[in-house]
Amino acid sequence: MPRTIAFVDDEEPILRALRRLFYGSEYDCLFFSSPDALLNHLESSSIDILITDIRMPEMDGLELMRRVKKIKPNVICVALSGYTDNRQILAALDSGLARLYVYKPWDNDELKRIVDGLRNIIRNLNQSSLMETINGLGSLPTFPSIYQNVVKLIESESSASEIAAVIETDPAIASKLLRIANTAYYGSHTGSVHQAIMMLGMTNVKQIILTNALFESAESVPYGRELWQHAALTNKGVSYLYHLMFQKQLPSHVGVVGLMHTIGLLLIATTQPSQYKALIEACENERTLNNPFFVETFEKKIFGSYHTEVGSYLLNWWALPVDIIEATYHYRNPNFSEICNLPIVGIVHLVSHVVIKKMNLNYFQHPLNQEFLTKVGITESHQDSLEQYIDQLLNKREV
Amino acid sequence: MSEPIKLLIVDDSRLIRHSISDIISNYFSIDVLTIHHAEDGDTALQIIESIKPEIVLLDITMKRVNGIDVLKAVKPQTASGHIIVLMISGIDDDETLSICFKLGAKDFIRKPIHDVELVSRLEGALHNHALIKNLHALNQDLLNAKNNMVQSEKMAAIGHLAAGVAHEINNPIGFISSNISTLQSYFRLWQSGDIERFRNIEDDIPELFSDLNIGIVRIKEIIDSLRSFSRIDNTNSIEPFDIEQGIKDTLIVARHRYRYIAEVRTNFSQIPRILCNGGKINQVLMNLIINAADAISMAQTVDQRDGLIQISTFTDYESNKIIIQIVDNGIGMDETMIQSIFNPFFTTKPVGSGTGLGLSVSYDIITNEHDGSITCQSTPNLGTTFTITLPIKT
Repeated sequence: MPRTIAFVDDEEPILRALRRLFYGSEYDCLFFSSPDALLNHLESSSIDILITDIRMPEMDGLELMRRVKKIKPNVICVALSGYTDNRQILAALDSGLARLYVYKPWDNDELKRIVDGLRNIIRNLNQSSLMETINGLGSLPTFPSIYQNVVKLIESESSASEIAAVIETDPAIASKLLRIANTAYYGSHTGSVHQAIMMLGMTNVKQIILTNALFESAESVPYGRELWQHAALTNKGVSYLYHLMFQKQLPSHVGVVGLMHTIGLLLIATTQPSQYKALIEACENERTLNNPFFVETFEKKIFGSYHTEVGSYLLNWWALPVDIIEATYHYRNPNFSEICNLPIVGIVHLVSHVVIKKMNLNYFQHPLNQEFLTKVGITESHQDSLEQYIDQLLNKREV
Repeated sequence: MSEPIKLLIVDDSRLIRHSISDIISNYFSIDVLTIHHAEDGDTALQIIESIKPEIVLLDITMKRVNGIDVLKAVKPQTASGHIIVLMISGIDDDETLSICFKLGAKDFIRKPIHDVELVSRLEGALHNHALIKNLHALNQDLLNAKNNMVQSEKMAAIGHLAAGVAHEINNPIGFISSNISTLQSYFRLWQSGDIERFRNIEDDIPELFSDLNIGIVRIKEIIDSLRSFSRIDNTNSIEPFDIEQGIKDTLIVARHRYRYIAEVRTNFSQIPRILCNGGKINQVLMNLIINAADAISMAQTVDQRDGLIQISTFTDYESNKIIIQIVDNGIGMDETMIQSIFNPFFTTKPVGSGTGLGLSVSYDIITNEHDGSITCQSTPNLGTTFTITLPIKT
């Protein structure tokens, strides 16, 4: 059971406030007023979650996370900072060092919810049944070699044109980026990788490179094209609904959450084609109007795990932001008390459902949890607007 | 086509006025020169006031208000070059003529009037007028550019302030708000009688209050420091100012820029208050402190040295001046770089992180607005010392 959290901040009053907040909780909380103190501690002991300030004398939080990752790769790192420079925040998330960014001043209840959410993720992704399934899949898709180069360029704040130059050396990825920039995301039309990068933002470029191999090889499996179209439409719908609800752009580090959320199905389809085929056939044989939700039943029977588990395991292994992992894990059946970022999970839950319905992909459908939607602030009028928006996209045949 | 130049002929002899204007009309088109007449000094001054001629031909001996009186009255305009005066002089007026030159006349024509002399002297005056006009235009451009520069530097200073305040206040607000909501949950526990679970609550609450206090004191300190910066925008606020307090305030406001880079030591000698614009002096101090931190940070990318910024104040009673010294152990500069640092737009910082105006505006504030001096000594890789000297005016 994951339960050890380390807090690092050079300000003692901050540590004392956190100590009070977590007093009597189920967690073992450790408090360090310097990065070195934590690193010393890690020589002989372990932690599950690190929550650290970014700006500290001697060693900053990014460097601390980098070192912790080296010696304890499974620790989930969270930045807790009042730092206002947006570029730094993005660099922390983009490099996969910080998996979540919490702003100071924080809200006590929200911070507790976040810690609970992280604990749940770690627990869910370490279940023995899931580990068995993952082991059965053989080797997980690793980072494409170009990925490391791009991440290095992003970390050193290189310009978009330098990054474009690297990406253009891989025509498959370059064309994928263009395709996504032109369809799944902003719906504009460009032929330049440089412009596509500018539109998508570095975070999304990074994540698209990661998933590219999966999407490419899934093109030929049954429903592969439909799943891609569903992911692309969902991605657009998520941006649309987020903007409708909050009157601001979807934060760029979750910009491709819609593309990612069904990645588990693609992973299974490409690594276990015969089992995937068995799943589709089972669904086709069981086709009834009364119970369209059979994916769950069959995938558990056939693989031993759900695709949501497999997908979020992969995304966690790739060190993507927690918000995306949660949405992937919970999108079919969100549970209010288990989630850090409620609105994103709620939005993906709804948009994915609506797109499946409009595309008639009933095997893959999940039931809507209206109570959850209400709790995270999604109204009926939001739902109506979203349905119209998806209809428009489908009529335009843009994707 | 530019406006014609207005020429005023002042002479009590109608004959001379007309012979002059006849010659001029022969040689210059009315697109170039328009001619006005005045028969005595009084009328001349009225016309000068109303039509503002650029060139005046002025007789010396006239009844009541003579040429010398007119010269005295228009001295500001002749000094600034807005009016060029040519005297019309008799043959024996040499001594008076020299007085006229001292009073601002630029040239003379002798009576009786000769075509060639009048025309060539006028052409000279027109040429001078064109040059002066150009100079005025350039001066105005320069003044506008300088105002823009000062304005953008002021905006940069305000930007530093805002970022610093946001960052410095987020921490105390963070633990204050967390502690308040913790206190609320304690209260709920106490109401429900479930206090047992929180056995340390009696020790904890006094500590919690003291933390709230620490946070409030920190925020108050930042707000107080900001108050002395709020004068940045008030250009005319010359008041007795405690520079050592100004340094302390600036250090608090700029803290986020040096805190993780260098230790700051101050060595104050209780210098007297001086009459100055405190907001602007703070702007200069902030500039120098940020520069010092940046210089150290650049050096640290190479050798990870321990950063140190030392700020000292002295009073030089002999010359009646105060001295402020800011010493860093940063990357330093060579001679050629020192030569350029006070030039506008010179910067060693990466694009986007400095306006390149900080030091030139600081130079202007110290030397031109406060009659002081600012100098720089530096050794590459060892560090830089900035010395500001300001006169004690009380």
